[in-house]
Amino acid sequence: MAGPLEQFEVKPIVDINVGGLDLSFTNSSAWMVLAATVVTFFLIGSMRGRALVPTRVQSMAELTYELVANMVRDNVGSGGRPYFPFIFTLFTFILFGNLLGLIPGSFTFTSHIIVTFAMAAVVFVGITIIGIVKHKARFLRLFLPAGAPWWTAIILIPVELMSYLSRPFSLAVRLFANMTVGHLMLKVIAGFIVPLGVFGLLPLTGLVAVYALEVLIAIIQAYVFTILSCIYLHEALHLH
Amino acid sequence: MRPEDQDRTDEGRSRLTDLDRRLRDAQARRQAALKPRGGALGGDNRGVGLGLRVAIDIVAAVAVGVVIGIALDRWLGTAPWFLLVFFMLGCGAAFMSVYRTAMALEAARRQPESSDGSAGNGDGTKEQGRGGAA
Repeated sequence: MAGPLEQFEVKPIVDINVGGLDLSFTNSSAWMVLAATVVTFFLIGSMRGRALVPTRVQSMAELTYELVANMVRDNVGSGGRPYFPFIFTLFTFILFGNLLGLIPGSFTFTSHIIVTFAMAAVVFVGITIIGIVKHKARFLRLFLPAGAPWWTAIILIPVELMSYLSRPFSLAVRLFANMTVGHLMLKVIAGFIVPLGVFGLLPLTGLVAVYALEVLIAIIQAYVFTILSCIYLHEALHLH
Repeated sequence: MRPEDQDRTDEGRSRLTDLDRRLRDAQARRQAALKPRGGALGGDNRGVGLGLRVAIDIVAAVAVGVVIGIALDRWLGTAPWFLLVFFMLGCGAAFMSVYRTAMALEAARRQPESSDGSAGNGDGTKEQGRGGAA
């Protein structure tokens, strides 16, 4: 019986070494490539028909599109359109990473904090650059809440700055923690089934329920990651 | 012929306005159904989801403060002063983010009562009513 932590192991598939740097193609990279491929084929394949009355797959693709389009419109507002492709890519990549990870025996790349942190860092740095390019020095007003007396700036600006800097971490940790905890829980509960014999039916029922919950969490967390990116983008575009 | 023609276009026009109205209604209904609930709170805003969210916000803010403090202390050899200062700032930032979440939650809770129902999306941010414009 494999331990509950073995599912998170990164194993190299093709060893690649460039000047002492380990750039191996791992199972993590393989699942990332697979997620991107599945998304691409899902969207291209489902929209091939372009029927006025959509088939099931087509309406799934359209629903995904509209979900993200509404999210961008409601949370970023005017000026959010140019960023839609990025937001949509982010959402579908995380969503399929989470969902593919729920296939028994697969690897969940979103359960590695370095992966989620890399995505959060790209969002954070990108949004900060957009804000600075758009507003120049006025971007710094983001760190002083409107209507605050000037003398409170001494304490408020550092606090706001810290809260701004902690964003990518909370974004990364939220997704990573949810995925890791869910997969650990599944594995631990599954470990009880066989040793308990007939009474293993009890954890088995629990496992089914937890699995259903995990599917929900996989979708919600992809949604949360994207919507928070949208809210941060809105702040950078419109300040307060 | 003339009056009949006139009649026909009138009827046509009234049917068109009727269709227009029904289309708008259907669109509004669909928009309301598609609208993501949760808005600024980011998806699940009740129970464990919210608790976990707030907990992670607190931990992240304090952790960032502590890491910056330790790094500055190590670089400048001023232990423990920067750690103390940045720990405090991290706590402040944590309080700030919890306060913001609470305010957004409160706004989202109050909004559905005050709005006309067609835009009850629970968007707890300051730009209310933007959802209708598109």
